[in-house]
Amino acid sequence: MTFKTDFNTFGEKAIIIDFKNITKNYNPPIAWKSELCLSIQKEFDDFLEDVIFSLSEITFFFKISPTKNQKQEIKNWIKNFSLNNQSIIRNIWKIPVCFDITFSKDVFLKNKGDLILHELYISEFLKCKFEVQHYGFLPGFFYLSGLPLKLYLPRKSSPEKSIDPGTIAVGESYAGIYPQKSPGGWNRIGRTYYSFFNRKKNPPCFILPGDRVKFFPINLDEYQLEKKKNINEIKILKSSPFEIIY
Amino acid sequence: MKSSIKVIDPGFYSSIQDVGRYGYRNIGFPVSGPMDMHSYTIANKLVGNSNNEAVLETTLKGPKLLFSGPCFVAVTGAITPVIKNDINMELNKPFFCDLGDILEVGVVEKGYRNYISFSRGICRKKIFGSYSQYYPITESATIKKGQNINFTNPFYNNYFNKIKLKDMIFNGKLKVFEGPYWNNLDNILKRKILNKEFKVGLNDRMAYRLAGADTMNKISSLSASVMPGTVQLTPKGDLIIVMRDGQVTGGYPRILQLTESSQSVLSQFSKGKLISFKISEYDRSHH
Repeated sequence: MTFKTDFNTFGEKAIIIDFKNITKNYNPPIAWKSELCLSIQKEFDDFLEDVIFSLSEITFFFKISPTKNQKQEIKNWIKNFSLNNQSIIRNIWKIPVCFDITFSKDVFLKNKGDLILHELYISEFLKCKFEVQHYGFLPGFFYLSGLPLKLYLPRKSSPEKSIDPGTIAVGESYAGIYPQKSPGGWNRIGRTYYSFFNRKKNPPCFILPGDRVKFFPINLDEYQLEKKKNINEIKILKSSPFEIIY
Repeated sequence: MKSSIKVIDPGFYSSIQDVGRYGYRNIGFPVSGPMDMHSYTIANKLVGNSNNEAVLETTLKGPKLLFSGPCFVAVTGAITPVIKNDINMELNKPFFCDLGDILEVGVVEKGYRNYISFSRGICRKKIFGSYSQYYPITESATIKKGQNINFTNPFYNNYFNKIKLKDMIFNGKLKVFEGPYWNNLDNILKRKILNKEFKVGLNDRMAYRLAGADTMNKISSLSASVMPGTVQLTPKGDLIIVMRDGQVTGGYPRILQLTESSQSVLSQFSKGKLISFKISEYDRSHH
């Protein structure tokens, strides 16, 4: 990768850097972006509040207006990081989902109530290997990319008032898991008994941007049995590590 | 006896807020903190607190509180009646409350939000580095009837900062910077947005929505970071201004960015008020 870093001002205390400007036509892997941002946030926590990335850019939130020196320090850090981090370890998580009709009625309706189409949609959904993009929308909510175009579903024109925690849903090209009861406009496809956000733990989330997610089906009895268990008794989520090299 | 404040009536929407929760935007935590940072800062200064002490932020109608220990109190922000045991108190001036005193902050006459500061501080346990209430990071989004809010310190200070107060601004000309997407708008659309008066629609601690009319557009952008004060333009032409409890990323083009002082001004506006924008130049001296 070749590096050129130009910052754009965003309000009084934030600056944005476009990945296009850092890596010249090369969009680095999500895991790399995520590790870079975490390392910067940790290294410069005396003057930075937060560092977040999205598809095309990184935003740096400063405690007070940034100085020239601080920007230079960040630029140097990015340059060194790219030289020293050629591989990153991430996990593939296997998440159990119950696709019972009570949990998947939105997708059923989007398939015009046709049970065959509905089941076809679910079997295609199960083939997807999703990639965790970034957190947003709610604390602990992560965006999953990797849906094929034919499975895209438009958001509802008016959002539901209350979606249950553990709900898996599809909105446009993304899938997501609602971490807590909240309003939501995505289409419900299933339910998991796992909780991916625990405010009593620090960090409260264990899934990282760049991780992969595969869903596997469980039946309603299995779901209800696990759901009744105490959080500590629930089976540990299966995962396997893999290396990202670039 | 443990000193605290008992909530007799929480008011319309009252929450505990300190300066905000930072370092967790990467897992989707909003920054929270006071909507009107200006009034919040004054509230703490008036009772001699440090800049980041927790206070009560109230909306439209304030709470009724019973004191079980002595403390100096100040109320700032909207023009609102403040009553201690049936006696009218002045805004923006610290006063003493003792065991058994009842403090009531009424319905706003001008403005929308009030800040009630306590010289002993409130709350004891920070959650992810902050006292600010935000559900589900904290157990509840607001204070509740019957709840006891504990003081932080066993003693109260009796030194106060002398501050010269400027009149609150209640006019709707908001200072903004160009947002990352501003220059993707054509000049006609830019002019429309800058010459128009927008009406405040639905609003809460997450966002202020402003109804557009002739600002329909076909501009789209990738989902990207937003922060308090970011003005997003929807395809319908409505504007959504992100506020303190807002999302960390948004999918609509970020066309403008309110200055921090304009965010304070906006947060004193309720539904139906008119606002317009005035572009400020970025200070280029650092670049």
